[in-house]
Amino acid sequence: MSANVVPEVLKGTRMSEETVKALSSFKDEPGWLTENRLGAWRVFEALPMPTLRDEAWRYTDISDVRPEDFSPYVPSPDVSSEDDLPEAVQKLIGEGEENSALLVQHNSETTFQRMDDELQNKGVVFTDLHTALREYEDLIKERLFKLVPEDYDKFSALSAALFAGGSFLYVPRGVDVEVPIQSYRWLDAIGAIMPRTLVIVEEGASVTYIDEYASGGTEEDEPALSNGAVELYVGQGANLRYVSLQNWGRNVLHFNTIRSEAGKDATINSLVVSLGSELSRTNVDAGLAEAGSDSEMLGLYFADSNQVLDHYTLQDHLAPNAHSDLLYKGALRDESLAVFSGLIRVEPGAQKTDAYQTNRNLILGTDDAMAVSLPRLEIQADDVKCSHGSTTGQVDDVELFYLMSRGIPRREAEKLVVFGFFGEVTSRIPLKGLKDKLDQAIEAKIGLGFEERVA
Amino acid sequence: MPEDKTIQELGLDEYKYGFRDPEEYFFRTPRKGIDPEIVAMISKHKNEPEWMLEFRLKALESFLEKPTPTWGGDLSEMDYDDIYYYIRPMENQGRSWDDVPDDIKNTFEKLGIPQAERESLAGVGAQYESEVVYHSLKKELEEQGVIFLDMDGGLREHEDIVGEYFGTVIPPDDNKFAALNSAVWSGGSFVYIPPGVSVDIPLQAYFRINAENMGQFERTLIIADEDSYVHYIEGCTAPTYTTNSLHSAVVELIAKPGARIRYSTIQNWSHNTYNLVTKRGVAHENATIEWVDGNLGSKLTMKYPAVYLVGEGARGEILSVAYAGDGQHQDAGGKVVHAAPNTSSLITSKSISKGTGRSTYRGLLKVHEGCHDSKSRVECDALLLDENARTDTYPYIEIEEKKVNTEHEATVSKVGEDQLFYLMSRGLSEEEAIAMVVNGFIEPIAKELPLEYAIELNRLIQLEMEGSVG
Repeated sequence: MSANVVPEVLKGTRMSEETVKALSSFKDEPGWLTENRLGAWRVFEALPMPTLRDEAWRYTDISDVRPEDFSPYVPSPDVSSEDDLPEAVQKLIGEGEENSALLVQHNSETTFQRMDDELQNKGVVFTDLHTALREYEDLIKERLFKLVPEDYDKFSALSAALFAGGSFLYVPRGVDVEVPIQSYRWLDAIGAIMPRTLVIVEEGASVTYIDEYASGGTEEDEPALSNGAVELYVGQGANLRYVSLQNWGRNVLHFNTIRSEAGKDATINSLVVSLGSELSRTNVDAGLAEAGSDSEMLGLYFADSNQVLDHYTLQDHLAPNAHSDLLYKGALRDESLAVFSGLIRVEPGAQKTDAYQTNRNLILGTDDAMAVSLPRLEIQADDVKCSHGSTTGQVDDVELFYLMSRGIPRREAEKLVVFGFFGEVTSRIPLKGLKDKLDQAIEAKIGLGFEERVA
Repeated sequence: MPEDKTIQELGLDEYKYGFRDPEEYFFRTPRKGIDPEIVAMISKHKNEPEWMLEFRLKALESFLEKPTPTWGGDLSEMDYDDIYYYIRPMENQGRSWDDVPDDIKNTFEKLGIPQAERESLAGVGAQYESEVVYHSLKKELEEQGVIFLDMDGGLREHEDIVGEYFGTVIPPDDNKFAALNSAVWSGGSFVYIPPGVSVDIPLQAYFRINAENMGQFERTLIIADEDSYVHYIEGCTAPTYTTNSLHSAVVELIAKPGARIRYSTIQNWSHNTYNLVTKRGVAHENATIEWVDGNLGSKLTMKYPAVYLVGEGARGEILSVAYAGDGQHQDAGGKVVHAAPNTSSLITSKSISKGTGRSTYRGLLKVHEGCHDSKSRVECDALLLDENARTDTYPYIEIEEKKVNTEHEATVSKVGEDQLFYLMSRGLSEEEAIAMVVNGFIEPIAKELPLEYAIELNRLIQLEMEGSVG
């Protein structure tokens, strides 16, 4: 879609019911979807903004955020080949993981996509959500908004009302996609983008999918909003590795809800990385809906300056014999705030549950940062093994001393300790390109004047 | 199982302490419910100074303003208008054991306060309904300058000390139930330990509720002056009734530099009581405050003993054990706030859920900026004995300082089949084996209690667990 056909009302500076109607008609959507968008808009309007008095928002203050005051739709430039993509995006792709399929969402539109022929021949579908809605309506209608419905919270209501762009991945029964599939969300304008991801991995299939969010904005720029929703359906015995890599510029407010449903003996391994943005809130909710399902949930965050990085997780054990293992590790410096609130919930009847949850925070060279950790358990079955742990501390003097005694200068030693801290997470990701990217990002974060401030 | 005989003797059909004495009142508020008139009546009846009346009335405003909490347990059935807020059972406080009326003595007999205990205890402040009816203090303690009175007596005789500290640790507007207590408080203990005095024998008080629809709002203030030591034991038990009753206490502890206060409770309210208690201590430089908190009874308990570490080198320790049987919800835990450098804390929580019981650990660990070299650890273990039992863990951890070391760990498990198999292969019945595992589970808490309380704790849990093996 090119920018010149975008209706005037979508270019407005505020969101309204009119915008919702205009967007749906602009995308020539079926009636049920228009109704759904309008219903979601009414839910959005009816729900109050969360405040610090809401348990789920106890530490992250968004009282100044007015989502409806952002431009609802940000047009994108036309792209006909990969060379037309912004240089920064080409660089991201170049530095990223090797991929077998690629999609670029630039602002509110998907501007570029390609997929290896081999995948096409196997019946794999990977495209933007609007195209998918035209071509695979039945497949989508059953699942879109089912895991992240409009009444999940105010932001999910907004996503259901005004999502644009987005991606749809479908891996048919038994297909093993060996090389990862990657989508990039790039933002270089002021306004709101609402990417939405829907992944369906059928019985016995296997795939790695990466959502990467990036932009070049700085804190001096006008604020922008990214409001996402991710729905992951993984069938019996299937395997999904899902990565969300958030590295927005410092003018972006990022809200995202990632929810998954694992079938019998299915495996969902997620990694949620939060490095950028001014304020980032990610809900990660693993639904272990069938017996024998398994979820590894990894998180990595590094907060500096006045960033707020908030992760709200749920390991929802609905069926017996399921396993989940969560490890979220974060570093903080300057005046940043990191919030981890995670819940293991074992529903009645979910016997033989095996669930673990660990959160570790490292506070670097500052007394102004604040780490909040709320590892919670709600257990309603008796034959279970559940545990959680949480630690917060600084770089260990003993570790530093050891490294320095081996002739490593103090600053290098500190970096090594930080890398070692994150190594527990990164070593569990079998993706070389991604690991290198994370190492570089961590290095850059440590570098920002860290040396002078380390105690 | 040395307790076998006792368990049989006690019987299982009824709540152990579910007997009641005929009610004899000296004074009771003329109607149920609470308003400024009732509060003024209580204050006037007690001949209180004007400032206490004002304190109460201001607290009442807070209570009426604050909404009932929606977190924690289910308080939807709580009817504040269906409670007598003050009942006084008899005219004078007993001066010696002989002066205590026989029916009250009988109650204590049934409660099983050992005779030996009465004789050897430093002082027994026994709270019967809203008033301390019996109170004795050994001469040697008096000579040391220790003050151990009921709170009303404390206010009468030591208005200067009470005026200085009362409500400073838990201000009346702290929370809805602290506000309620502040408005209608009655009874409780007032303890002052002079500098350097170490009280060797625990000070104890037994509390009971004995009037239907009657709330109990005792208020305890303990001040341990520099380098002193005291162990205060509050036990409580109540008869069963058909309508819900409310217990809402406030306990304030002040440990001055170098002092140490240990406060132990085994709560065994009847299973229709709402037990909503605010307990908090302030530990100054190098002082130590320890809470040993056992929750076995009540319909719903919401209680999170807190320690504020405000002086360098202060230490706080909270040991919490909870047992939730059918229909019970124990929402317990602990709060530690590090507000000075080099402070340390340890929270250990053990809970057991059986039948449809639910135990919740809810805690806060907060380290303020600048409290460098602070260390803290929170450990929670939950044991589930039945398929329908439930356990939750909500440990809030807020760290604003980098030079700290904080750790939290929690585990949930059922009684292990291999443990049972081993014990049963040694000739124990399944019931005995489970009891032994449970006793082992709570052992870290039990060993912190004086022997007679440790035995009582084990006995009560065994009693509750009888018939748990199907």
